[in-house]
Amino acid sequence: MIDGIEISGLGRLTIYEVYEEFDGPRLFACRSDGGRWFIAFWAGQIEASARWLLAPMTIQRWSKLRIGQIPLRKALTEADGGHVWEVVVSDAGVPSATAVPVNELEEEDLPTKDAALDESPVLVAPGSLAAGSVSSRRDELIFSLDMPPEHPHAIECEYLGSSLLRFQSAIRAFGAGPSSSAYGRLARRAERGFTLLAQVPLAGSFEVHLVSQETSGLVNSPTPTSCAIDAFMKLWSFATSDEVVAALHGVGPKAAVRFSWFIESLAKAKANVTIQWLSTSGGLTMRARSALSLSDLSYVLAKEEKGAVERYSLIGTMVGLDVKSSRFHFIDEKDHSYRGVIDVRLAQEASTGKSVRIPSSVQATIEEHLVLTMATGEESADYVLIDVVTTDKEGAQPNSSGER
Amino acid sequence: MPVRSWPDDFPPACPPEDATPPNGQVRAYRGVHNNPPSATDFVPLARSNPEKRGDCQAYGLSLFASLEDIERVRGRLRRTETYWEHIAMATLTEGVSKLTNIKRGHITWWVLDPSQVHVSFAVVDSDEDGKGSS
Repeated sequence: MIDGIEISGLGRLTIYEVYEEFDGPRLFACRSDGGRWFIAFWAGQIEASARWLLAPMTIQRWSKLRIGQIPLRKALTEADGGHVWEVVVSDAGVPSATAVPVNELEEEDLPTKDAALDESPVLVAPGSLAAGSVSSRRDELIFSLDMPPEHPHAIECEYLGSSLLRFQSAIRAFGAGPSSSAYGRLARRAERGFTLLAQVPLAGSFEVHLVSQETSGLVNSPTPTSCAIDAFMKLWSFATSDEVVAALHGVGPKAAVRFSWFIESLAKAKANVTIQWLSTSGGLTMRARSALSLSDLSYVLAKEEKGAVERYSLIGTMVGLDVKSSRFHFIDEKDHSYRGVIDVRLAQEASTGKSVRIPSSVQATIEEHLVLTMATGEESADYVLIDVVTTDKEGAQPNSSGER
Repeated sequence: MPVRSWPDDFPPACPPEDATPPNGQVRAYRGVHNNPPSATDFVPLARSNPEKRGDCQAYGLSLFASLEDIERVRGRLRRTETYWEHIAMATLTEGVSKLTNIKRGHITWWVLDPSQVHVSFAVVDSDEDGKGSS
């Protein structure tokens, strides 16, 4: 067998679904620990060595293959990347994988023309993945962008980069829940937890394998990242723009606007996009959106977008306040630093008498405005100081405006 | 008829409790290389692959419930045509068997001495009517 052993060039394989067996699995879908998917065909015995052919494929192609929409033969003759992997397993040494161009496959290696699988469309994740390696206890995503046919093998880095950036930001916002005002910003633990790491760029297609930095504490238990991705995937999976817009009302302004920006970045790329999510429980969710549907959705969301403005009430230290230039600098209890402008009304109050000693402990009301820098595609926040109340025992002191 | 105690190297609770003695009621097919079938055509995976020891199913032999099932496998995995030059059939009288995959007609058959079971199998091949004598 070839599952569970290290194969030079492919890594360790885990069987996901078996289609034929005789004295062990002989035709099955499997996944490498690097996140690549294959259909494995037993291809005979060479003395004491077993020979296998592994056809690489995307999950969307596999999903068609397993229900018979693609004949088995085509898994080999039209394998992604134009080659299959030949693996010979014997008792001696580490098996290695050799790439075999599809046009060099022998007829005897190919299934008959009418041979196809006939599995149920409902994909049931086996326990082996959920209870398997450490990597299976992290949320895993495969993010695929397929460009229009005129550029079948090229994609601008800008599109991929900005889309991934927007994707990461959206997951973080979903992880914060409908309101993140309790923290002002995402807690540091949450920031770590909702970080997605690019694991392996998948050969043969424009896919990136992402894993969550957060690991599930118990087998099968959802992580906070799982919950964030689950919420995201529900939105991503809605069929109509109306459904998406309705659902966005429930996720909070930051998540809503970040989702809109994500869709906008994909629409600009004019790509067909598929996101596959393998959760820590082993459940697999996959949904593709066409470039056309993304364009429509982007248009609708742009009309709906009201901007991401959140107001926080924070305890901390006002370390700088300059009414003349209308600037402030505040550091909260978690050492987050906020610099920005003073609201016009508050500035007027300050100029007519209300003042704060610098530095002093205060309760500050701050508005956060999320903005997207068009030149770099990076996200930043503008802060507006709405109100400030001193909490020092000696109370508000006159005088003292001016940046330290 | 209860089976005598299973070999010591079988994993605990193997064969499974719901595997039943076929008692001459089960006709099954297996791909074989030799005609007539020989002991080398009936080697359980656990005997040829030490890494599979501990996996109860690997101590059994794979059989199929019908010629259709075995032909389906040969269509999906063409190399089996050269590996399984023949299809052999037997009416099972010993050991215990279980239909381990109903949809695919896959039967796992656990026997005390796999090296002796080939004598009960006869090649029928798919161009015959599947009623070869055993």
